[in-house]
Amino acid sequence: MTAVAIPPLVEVQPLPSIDTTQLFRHTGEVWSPIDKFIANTNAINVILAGATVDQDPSPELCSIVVLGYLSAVETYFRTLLSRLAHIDELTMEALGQKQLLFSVAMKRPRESLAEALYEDSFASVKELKARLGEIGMSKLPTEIEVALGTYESICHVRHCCVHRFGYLGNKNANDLGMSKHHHLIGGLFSASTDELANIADALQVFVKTCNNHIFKFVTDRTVTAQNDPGHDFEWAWRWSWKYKADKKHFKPYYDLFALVVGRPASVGMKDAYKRFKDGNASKVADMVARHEEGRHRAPQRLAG
Amino acid sequence: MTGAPNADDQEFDEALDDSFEERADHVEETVIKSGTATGDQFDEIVRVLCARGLVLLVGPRGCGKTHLMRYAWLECVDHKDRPFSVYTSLNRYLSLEPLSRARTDANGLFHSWVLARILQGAQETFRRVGGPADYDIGVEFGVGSEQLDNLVKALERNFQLDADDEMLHRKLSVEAVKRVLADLAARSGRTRTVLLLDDAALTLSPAFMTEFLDILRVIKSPEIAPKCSVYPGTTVFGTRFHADHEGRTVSAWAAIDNPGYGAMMQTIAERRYPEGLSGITPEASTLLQYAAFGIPRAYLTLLRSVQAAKPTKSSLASTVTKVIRSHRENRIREFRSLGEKVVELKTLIRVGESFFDGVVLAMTRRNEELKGKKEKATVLGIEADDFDPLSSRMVDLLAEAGLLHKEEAVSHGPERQYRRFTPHLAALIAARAFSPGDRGTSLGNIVEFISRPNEKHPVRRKFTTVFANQGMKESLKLDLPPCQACGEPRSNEKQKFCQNCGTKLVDELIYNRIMAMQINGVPGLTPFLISKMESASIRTVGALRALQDPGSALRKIPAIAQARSDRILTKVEEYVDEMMS
Repeated sequence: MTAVAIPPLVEVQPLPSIDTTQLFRHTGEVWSPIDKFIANTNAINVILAGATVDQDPSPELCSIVVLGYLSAVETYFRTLLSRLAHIDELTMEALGQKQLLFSVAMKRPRESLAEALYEDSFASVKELKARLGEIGMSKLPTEIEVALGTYESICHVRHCCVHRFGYLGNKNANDLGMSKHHHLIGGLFSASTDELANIADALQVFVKTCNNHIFKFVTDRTVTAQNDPGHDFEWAWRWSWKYKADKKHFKPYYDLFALVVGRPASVGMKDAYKRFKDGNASKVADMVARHEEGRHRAPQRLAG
Repeated sequence: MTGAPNADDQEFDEALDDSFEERADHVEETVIKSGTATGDQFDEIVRVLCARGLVLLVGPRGCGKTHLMRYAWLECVDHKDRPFSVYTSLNRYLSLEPLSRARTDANGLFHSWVLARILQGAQETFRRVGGPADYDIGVEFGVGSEQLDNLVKALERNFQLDADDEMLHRKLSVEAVKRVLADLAARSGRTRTVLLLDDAALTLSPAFMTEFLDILRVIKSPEIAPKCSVYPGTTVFGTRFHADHEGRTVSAWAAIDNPGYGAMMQTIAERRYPEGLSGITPEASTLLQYAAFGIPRAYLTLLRSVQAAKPTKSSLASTVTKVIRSHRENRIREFRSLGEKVVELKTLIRVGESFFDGVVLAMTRRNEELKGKKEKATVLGIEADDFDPLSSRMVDLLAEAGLLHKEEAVSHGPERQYRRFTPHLAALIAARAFSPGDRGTSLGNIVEFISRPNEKHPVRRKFTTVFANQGMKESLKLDLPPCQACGEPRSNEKQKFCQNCGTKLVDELIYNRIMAMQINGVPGLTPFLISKMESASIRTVGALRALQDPGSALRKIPAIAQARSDRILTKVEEYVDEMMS
């Protein structure tokens, strides 16, 4: 018996097949995370500028820009922290108790294992603080704390863009402050060109601020730890405070945190090292004194 | 470019240089008290400065704003029935500009700096009027002695803030400062406070200005009356802060047509620089007063320049004319320097100078026509509709530099509103606007012409006519710097990112431009001193200031000992202060 096909309520066409193995390519880039972040977001800026020459962006474009930007922010933290785990011994030690999937351990090369530690989202202040806390940054500098407030608001906007096509939901309105946002629930995220540029600017400034402070924190921490006789970490090397000798230890940090491709670029490595040394002047003096003392004492002990 | 001033243009002479001080902020208190010419306008301003309510004291550089404020401060210090007065200058604000590239909270640091400066002033007053001589205001914030000074120093010199600085920075809030001021006033037996905030125009940093206005709004109360000295034409006040709503505006500029003008200037010279008047005829003196265009400091400088030329009886007239011409050159040079500091204003300044010349020319021609009559023409009228944002900005810049004085606007019929301006009289005198035809340089005739009443209507012009007469083809625009990463020109004034490469657009720091200024452009340094410094590779203002100990470094140069090194440092600091304010 032949039955007449009943057309569906909404007409459909054949489902295209998606081969995810064809969708990714290796770029071979070895940029610092901050350089990559700036390049990624600048690419969005160009798209935005092109689309807003003589008009404000459409709500759809607003959402896409916020999503793109937040994705760049997350990528920055993920790349930075995973690469830091491979170059900074104290980070490595702090992350020692973290667990990895067996499949990752089997399939991935040793030098990229840490990447698997950062699969979760960074698009909330709570998550971000937890990840920074894990590497030892539990007390954040005021500059980061202040910027985190702005970041949190933008994360809520992103949440609306990801899950509600830009419409403000109850929970996000509550998180943003119900008294000021209750009448906007159900409203569509639609920023002007200037407001969108401000969000972009705020995220760039936020990431650069974090980058500077994390750099200072991890590098200063090596000095504090090496200077602390009570610290039970076994150091295979120590700062000698001579650039020639310290260069090879300082370079991985510089390469990870410096802005080289973006503008204005960071100072060169030698200048960065000098600032690092000057910033730790009192500890440097202590270390040099202890070193000198050790040299004087050693022969006596031998003689004894 | 202004380049080095040539010897003819130099108004300052080394031999006379240290004989007295024209700037009120460098003048001793006794001189402020006894060397001040008082009069109705002066008394009224001092009264307003000591009264309740917010006041903007408006006037071009050198017109006596600082003097008035310091006088008002001393009045309050000396009289128990007057308010607790705090005087502070914000002229160093631009030295905080580099922080905006290093810290995300640069505006917050500026906020703390302003409050700290107010507290420093409050400490000084309290030591004078009620408290112990060693009173340290840090005690009110639970910080160590001199911590407040340390914070101010660290911020102005862009030092890394240490933990104590950061702690004080966090504790400084407008509310806390208000509490301390109220407390100190009460302990001094005063019922209220006036804040005399000098050099508060902050014209070179709109971001700091916004922050400053926020402070003003919150600190203002029935018990605390802020008074700010600003330049005329400072437009930033217009957008977010309506001076007329928040308080009142008072002009510190002495109008040259005011009947008491000559007497006031004369008194100032008699008290501050009596020897400057010796050998100067009444006509010469009056003409110099006109050329000073309401600026007492300029009158003293003009007298000094005339005295330095050691004129004979017969050469006095030509010396006076020459000195006035050179004064005009210096005013123009000062105007041009703004274009060097602020790149985006380059075209506005260049076109503005040409516009000013055009105005002077128009006035000169009109005065030629008035030669045989009993009137003069010094007022220009431009129809209000003729102004757009850029031409308004240009005229404001000329007003800020004191080249144009804004008069009250007048209506010519219901539809026609004219904005009126008087160009700097030194420029009109230099252009022989008041000595048409064969009367040559007879000073008496020029003075007679200037003292005529103004004709009823201003000389009316349109911008386009003035530009066309000057052969100006250039249109007004802001010179926005191109993208620093890819060199692409900007597409509009408000954009944050380059449309070509997406890089954030960052303006060059005005501070850096000032630091890059050549040593040979610093007024008051002789060619000898300049060549000595250049031989030691000190070619820019910044190179000198960057030295760890500039004094010792200078004294290592042959022929430079203590006196000369002190002199160099003073002149460079004065120049930097002037450029930054």
